[in-house]
Amino acid sequence: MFLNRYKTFKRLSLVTALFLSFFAHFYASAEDAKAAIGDPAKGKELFDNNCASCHNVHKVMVGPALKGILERRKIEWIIPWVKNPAKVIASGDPYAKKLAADFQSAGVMTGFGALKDDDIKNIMAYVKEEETKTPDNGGGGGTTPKVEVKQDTTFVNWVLGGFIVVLLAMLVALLSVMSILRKYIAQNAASLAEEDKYILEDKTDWKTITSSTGFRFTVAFLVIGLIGKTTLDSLVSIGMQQGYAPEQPIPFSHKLHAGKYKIDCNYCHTGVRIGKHANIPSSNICMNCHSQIKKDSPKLEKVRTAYKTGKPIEWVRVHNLPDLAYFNHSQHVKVAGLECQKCHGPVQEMEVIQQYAPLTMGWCINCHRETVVKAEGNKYYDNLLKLHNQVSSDPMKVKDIGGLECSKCHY
Amino acid sequence: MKIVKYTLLSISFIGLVSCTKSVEDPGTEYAPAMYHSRAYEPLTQVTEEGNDYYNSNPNNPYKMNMRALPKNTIKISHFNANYYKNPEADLFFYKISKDSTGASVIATNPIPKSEAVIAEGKELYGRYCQHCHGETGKGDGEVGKVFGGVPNYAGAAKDRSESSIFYTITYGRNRMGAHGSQINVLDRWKIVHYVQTLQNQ
Repeated sequence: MFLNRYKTFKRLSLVTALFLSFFAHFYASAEDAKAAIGDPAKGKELFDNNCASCHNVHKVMVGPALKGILERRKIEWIIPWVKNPAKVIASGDPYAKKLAADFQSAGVMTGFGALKDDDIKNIMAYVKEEETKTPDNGGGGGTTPKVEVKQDTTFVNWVLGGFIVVLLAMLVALLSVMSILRKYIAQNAASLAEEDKYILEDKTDWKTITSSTGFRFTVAFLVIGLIGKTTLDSLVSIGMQQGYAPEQPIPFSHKLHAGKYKIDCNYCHTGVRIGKHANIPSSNICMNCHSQIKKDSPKLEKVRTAYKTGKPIEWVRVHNLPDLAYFNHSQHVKVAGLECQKCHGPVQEMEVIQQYAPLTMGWCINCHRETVVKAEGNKYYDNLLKLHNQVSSDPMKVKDIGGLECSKCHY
Repeated sequence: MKIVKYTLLSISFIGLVSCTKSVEDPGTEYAPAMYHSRAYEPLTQVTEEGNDYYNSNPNNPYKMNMRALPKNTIKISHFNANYYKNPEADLFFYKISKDSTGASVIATNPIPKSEAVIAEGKELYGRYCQHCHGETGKGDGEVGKVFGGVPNYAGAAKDRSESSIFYTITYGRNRMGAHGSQINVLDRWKIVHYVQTLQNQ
């Protein structure tokens, strides 16, 4: 009897306990949600506009990573901190003081007094939602931009090479078939018709051909012509460094910096609009980005050393005009408004920088003959343009205002 | 025998004709003394003494041919610029130092705001700022995405004053490096005008 009751009660209590734990769990999570969670969607917008410049959920940036912030600190601490961090530090709060000491180099966090309590809760909701996701290696959450790669000419070379091999194989096959047939015919010479006999007698007389004047003349012409062309080519290439692409002390890639990351040429080559030289950037310009990006890369060791010591990096000079010619970058880039690529080629696709243009006088002069002067909006050209238009109906080109004069560049 | 002779000859002939220059070789220089200036020139430096083309300045650090300006040098053209009406504004740039915090320095933009100046500022912004700060100042430039910590002008940096923007360009702020060596004073103020339009977009 008792035993039965006992068993019933035991069952009942078990069921009750089960229910209790069930409800307690729900209650707790509901309570949890009430206390800390706001609207993560609103929080994301606020976070991106206010916090993202210094904070990331997963990694330390200017300020600490916010992952797990709600476990480390209560919301009652976070709200006054966000609104006025300096005040919390001044109040002697030990955690705030430690934070300030750990991130001394970043300075004290900016206060966001304009944010309401609910705003901060929304931000925390976003952080809480975000911390469960896996961190994005890209850093800023953007997708890696794709670069269009120009097709390599090696492919074409391979195709052409393949054609040549196939043609040679066909030639060999045809010739061997011919010789086999000829042998077969020779064996059955008796059955040949009279008019087909010449096939057996048809033997090329190499000796007569090679000793003929025509043949000798042709060979001599080809040999002399080729030697002459080689000699002329190498003579012309004297003083012309087109295609020169020396190895540099740092494997700097214009394809990466100017192509993929779209950094403007002017950002590093600061002299190009104000002076004769475009300039090679000093190491402090490199460090504007590399203080954060790839800051431990061994390839950048020379940049870091140069930045610390002030001893410049010795790059290998690629473009070098002889002293007898004067060239000014600002005249061509700022005044004439030429694109850098006009003379330097597709730099944004070059892994190693190379000299694209021949930089010969003929090349300079040719451009001066063809290019129309960019005279609009430039008072310097007003009178020249007026005079030019009096005598000619063609647009004013560089050659028309003395662009072919020797003393323009040689003085 | 004859065949061997002709084969060897033609092989050496082909070899001679098909020679090309390596990319590492600048080629023969005509009048090399014209390519390697012995006078001091920027961007070239031959430091070994005894070299025919030695052109380094032994009085400069690391025998460099270029030198930074002495500290506190004032560019003469800054006085003559039309934008600068009063000497106080003229010297503003030289009065702030890296140690002055951005907020404590107060100056007004000496360049009057106009459509043309904002257009110029936009062009300069494209050259010097856009790859990090993005086309519309959201901090979403190609470099900015990798760099991290780039603020949204219209968000966290909305209330930043013009003098603070100028200071930031000149000396940097938090993760951003100093850009004073790349952009001249007047151009910086033009960029400030454009950044302000992005703040209020």
